[in-house]
Amino acid sequence: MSGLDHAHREYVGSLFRNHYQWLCLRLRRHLGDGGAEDIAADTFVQLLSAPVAEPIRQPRALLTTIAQRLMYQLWRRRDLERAYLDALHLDDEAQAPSPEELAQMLEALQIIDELLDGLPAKVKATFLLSQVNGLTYPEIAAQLGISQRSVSDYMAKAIHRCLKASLE
Amino acid sequence: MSVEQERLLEQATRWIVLLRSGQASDAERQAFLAWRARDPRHEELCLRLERTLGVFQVPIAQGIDGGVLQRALDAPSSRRKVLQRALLGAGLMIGGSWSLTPTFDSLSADFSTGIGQRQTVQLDDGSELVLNAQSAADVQFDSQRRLLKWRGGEGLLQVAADRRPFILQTSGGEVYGRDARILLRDRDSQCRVGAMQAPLQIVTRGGDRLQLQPGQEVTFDRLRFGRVQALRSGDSAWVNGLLEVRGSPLSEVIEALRPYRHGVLRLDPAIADLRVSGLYRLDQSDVVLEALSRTLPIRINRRSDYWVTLTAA
Repeated sequence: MSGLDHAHREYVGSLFRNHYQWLCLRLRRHLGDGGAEDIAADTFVQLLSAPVAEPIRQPRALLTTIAQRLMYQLWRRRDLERAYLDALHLDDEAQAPSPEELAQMLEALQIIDELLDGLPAKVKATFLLSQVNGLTYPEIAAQLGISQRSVSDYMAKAIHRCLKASLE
Repeated sequence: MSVEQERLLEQATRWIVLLRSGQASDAERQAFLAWRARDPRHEELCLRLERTLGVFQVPIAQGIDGGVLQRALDAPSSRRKVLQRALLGAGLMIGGSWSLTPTFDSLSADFSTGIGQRQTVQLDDGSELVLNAQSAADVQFDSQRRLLKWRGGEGLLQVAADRRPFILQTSGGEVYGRDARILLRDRDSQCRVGAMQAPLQIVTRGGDRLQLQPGQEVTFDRLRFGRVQALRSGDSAWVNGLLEVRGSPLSEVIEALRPYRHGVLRLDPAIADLRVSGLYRLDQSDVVLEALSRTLPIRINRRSDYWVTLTAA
């Protein structure tokens, strides 16, 4: 371990001693006991693996920011899981997925969710029918009750987004 | 992104939109291949796109319909804003490069429980709120009124004495009560409210009014009230982690268990009206299902822990 790494660990360690309880308390009203401690611990793990300029002037602001992002991700994952299972539930043709399939699918869903985040619902619907179901534009237009022109426009928006993400 | 990069993205977008249409001619396909070969950056971009889209192999391999994915992605994330307000509202000053957008206009807070969790919280006025699993509420108190916005689920609220009126807002309407003890359930836009010690005034979104006496409960939605009934002793048993039913339909038992289980619990409509009596532990929903299958003519089909179907035996 290099000297810098060691110093960083020492520093994060001191932050942990001073602020861990505070962060747990703050998170507890949103997450309950177990969840709060998980997120608080993950927050410090992130801080350990992502070197920041030290000393941090307002450590609690930084910790709050990191914890908040972790909570968004956790909540989004839960929202997606619930919505996905509900959607499967409503789909008469859906078979029960195996635990492995579900785990894979939820991971994929989260990536897809971030990839398409912010695009209008119609754009997402159009793109998914093309990408997942392999439908042609006339078929998509018929299924969604929109013009073929709209299908092309929506596809252009989604493809542009995916291309842009590919460059990053 | 540079102008040149943007132009590259637009060219590539046009090609791919054309190829996906199902109407591209052979000549157009050839032209695309030529475009792709003309510049290594074109080739590189196409390869990267394939990698990005690789994630869709998962739903395709599992035979998941695009419409199902769409519905899952539509899941609302209303909690984001609430959380941001709540974390900042506690007076934390954010500065420097870690700045968020602070909103100090409201001292709102947010309480929520996940699957299988129950939580008791003290509100600023001394009122006490018990949340059942999968429930959530926003608190908006100011100098004029105390507003509790119920976002869904089940709760027991003890309203503390205070000069400001207390308003409980549900999907179906608003509930007013002084020194009241209110039992509330609000799921799928169907509300049930019980008055436990003081009278309650309920006004639906549609403007219908009803006075509920202590010991009574009523169901309602935005438009109408159901029949006023005597509060059942078992209605608040969940506060102690129990499910108490007397001659209730099986569907009601299953509804009560759902917030305690991950995944899907399907109930065959043919057996939904079977009558059930007993005292069960909510925290052990699998045990409850086993117990039900021993006393009722039903079968538990367990494809996996999170996909359970109850059918007629």
